[in-house]
Amino acid sequence: MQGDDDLMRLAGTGDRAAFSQLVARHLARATGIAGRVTGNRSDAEEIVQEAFLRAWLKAPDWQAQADREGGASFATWFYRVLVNLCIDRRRRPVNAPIEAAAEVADPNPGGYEATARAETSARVAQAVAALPERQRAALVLCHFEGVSNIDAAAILDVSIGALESLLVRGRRALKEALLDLAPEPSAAKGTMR
Amino acid sequence: MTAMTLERLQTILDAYGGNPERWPAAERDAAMALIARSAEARRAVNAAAPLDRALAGFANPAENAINPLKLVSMITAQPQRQAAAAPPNAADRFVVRWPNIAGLAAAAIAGFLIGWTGIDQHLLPTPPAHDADRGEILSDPSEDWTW
Repeated sequence: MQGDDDLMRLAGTGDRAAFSQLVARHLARATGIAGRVTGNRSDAEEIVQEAFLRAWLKAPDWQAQADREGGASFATWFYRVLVNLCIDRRRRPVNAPIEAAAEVADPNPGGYEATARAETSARVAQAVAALPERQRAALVLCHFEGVSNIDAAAILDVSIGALESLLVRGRRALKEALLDLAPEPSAAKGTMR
Repeated sequence: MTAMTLERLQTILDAYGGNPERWPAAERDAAMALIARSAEARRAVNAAAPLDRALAGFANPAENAINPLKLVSMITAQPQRQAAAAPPNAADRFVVRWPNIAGLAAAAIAGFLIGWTGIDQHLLPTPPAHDADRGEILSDPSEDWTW
């Protein structure tokens, strides 16, 4: 199987099949990151399209850039572009997802569970949206998209220690915001720290 | 395997949550070993679980938002610009500049030889000679000054 950078070089010669493979390989993760960082489907859609468009336009120069910069990987470059696009995007207030979710709930016998899931998702979405942008991006990369700490630090252009600091502060804020959804086990309270 | 302390495990849990798959790969085995032998470590892992469960309910709002075939079709319809010419490497630069270097060297050598041999004196126009000097050359000194 060809690596991302080989596909990028081929895409740089106008090879659409190679670019299609790159898209197939990264679309789900890109959509997950953009969706959860922006909290908005249409923003995420536009951002993912923009990031892949930049990759296509960048492809002819990929080899030269790799030579200059010591071979930065496509994934690091691409997700950094994506995350920066998400962070740069003007935020729309996440106002009424709970009510909206309730309106679209399925009225069939399983509808109650669907409504509850939608409400939980909306609550978490609100709490995540309230985080500072880089905490949110770090959390989405590491928690929701399973990006390794090394790769996430490279994408965010921070040290691993700084990444962990972003994650700790982010999770702490979420814990406070979602106390009713995530109560601390009483037995564990006061065991460490 | 690096040593794992309760403090470091707590930081890992605070940062990455209670699922070992999300922990730093280099520290995972050491953390698991600590959890296996420490009840306090296990309680700390359990304490991280509720937030993980709550976060698991956060659906991706953009799931399936994009049709990959349409995306590729739309993007690859955009013309790519030509790759910028890569700067030549050192050997290429020498080949490209060789005529210039050779020309400069030839000019320098020629300049040195001209200065050293005094050949430039012969290139100067001959000034009008004194009558005494011209006497050997011209039979009639007046010829030279007659227009």
